[in-house]
Amino acid sequence: MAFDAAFLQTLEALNLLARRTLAGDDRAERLTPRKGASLEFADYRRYTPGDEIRYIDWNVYARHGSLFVKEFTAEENVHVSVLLDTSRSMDFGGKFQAAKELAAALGYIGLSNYDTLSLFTFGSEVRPIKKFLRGKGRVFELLSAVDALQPEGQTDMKRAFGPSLPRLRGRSLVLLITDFYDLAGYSDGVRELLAQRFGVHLIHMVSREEVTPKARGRFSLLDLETGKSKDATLMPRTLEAYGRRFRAFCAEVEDFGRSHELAYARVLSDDTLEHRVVEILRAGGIVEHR
Amino acid sequence: MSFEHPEGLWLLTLGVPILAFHFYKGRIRRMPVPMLLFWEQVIVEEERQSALKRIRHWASLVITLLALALLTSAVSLPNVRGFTRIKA
Repeated sequence: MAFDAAFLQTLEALNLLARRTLAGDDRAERLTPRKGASLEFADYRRYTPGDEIRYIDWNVYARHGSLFVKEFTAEENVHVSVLLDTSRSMDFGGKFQAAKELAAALGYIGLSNYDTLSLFTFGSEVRPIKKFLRGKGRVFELLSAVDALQPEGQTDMKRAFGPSLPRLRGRSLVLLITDFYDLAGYSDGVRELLAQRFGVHLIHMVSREEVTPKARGRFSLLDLETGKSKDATLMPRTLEAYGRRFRAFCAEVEDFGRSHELAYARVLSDDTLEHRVVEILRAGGIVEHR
Repeated sequence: MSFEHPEGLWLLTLGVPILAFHFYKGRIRRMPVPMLLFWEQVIVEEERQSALKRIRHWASLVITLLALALLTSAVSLPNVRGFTRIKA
């Protein structure tokens, strides 16, 4: 996996959006609603003894005769955790490759903003792949790690994200990249993440073949995760019914995200990577232009 | 039983491609799907109609082979003992 220089420049102009304050340990380039020391002016506050005199705005004092100090926004890094679904259901219609590219691109955005980045994979359990990367120099390490990932096992988000979840440093911003196919239900798993006070962004991977399957005739349908099969004759009527069911599922995941105030983006695997990152994720409130 | 035009019996060999096409059309191919549950939910209705579909599947083969037999018979003109052919 390799990104060209132009695409890297595009990624460097983006920032991962955190919907709430996620306290980081180190200073970085992310402006937070918390007050701190940066060049970005935030507000005025009445002077109280103990405030630093250099922050007093003397122009305001000259006009109003009262002492006010200037406040600035804090610039902090956050711990970004990319949770990539590597279950076998992702190995369909190019979803897995698209998800890996997306994980790498989002990781690079984090690294170029001096955020701390960790990459985890999950199926029925979370596996740490890279932990606490910082700085753009670690991008090759990230890319080769992502490249080596292979789909395996079944999805069980509740079990994976439950108490056995490896401790993510501080309050992580979690980028959950998955197809949300979980027979036990994805919602309990995501709620586990929210209960641990992570900021969660939902990135829903879908393939064209799932949205509009083209196959016609008699088939033995084989579930990629469970290995269970079922014989069926696929006729236009069956495919329409399946299409309705799939759209209802997508709408349900989106509603779940909205009801929990989570950013949500549905990504089609055959879109170009640039379109996926710049247009779809930006529209979904996951990245923003700096 | 004898035939006035026994060379017409060669038409019976057309039965081979008909049978081949029938079984090719009816074969079950394997299709991997990421979530079988969704398919199971939509093919319940279809299962109810599957008996009728099976009958239709085999009936189409029988009718096609019958049509071929009639065509062969018309071309090869069989003489069956007990039946008199009226010649024009």
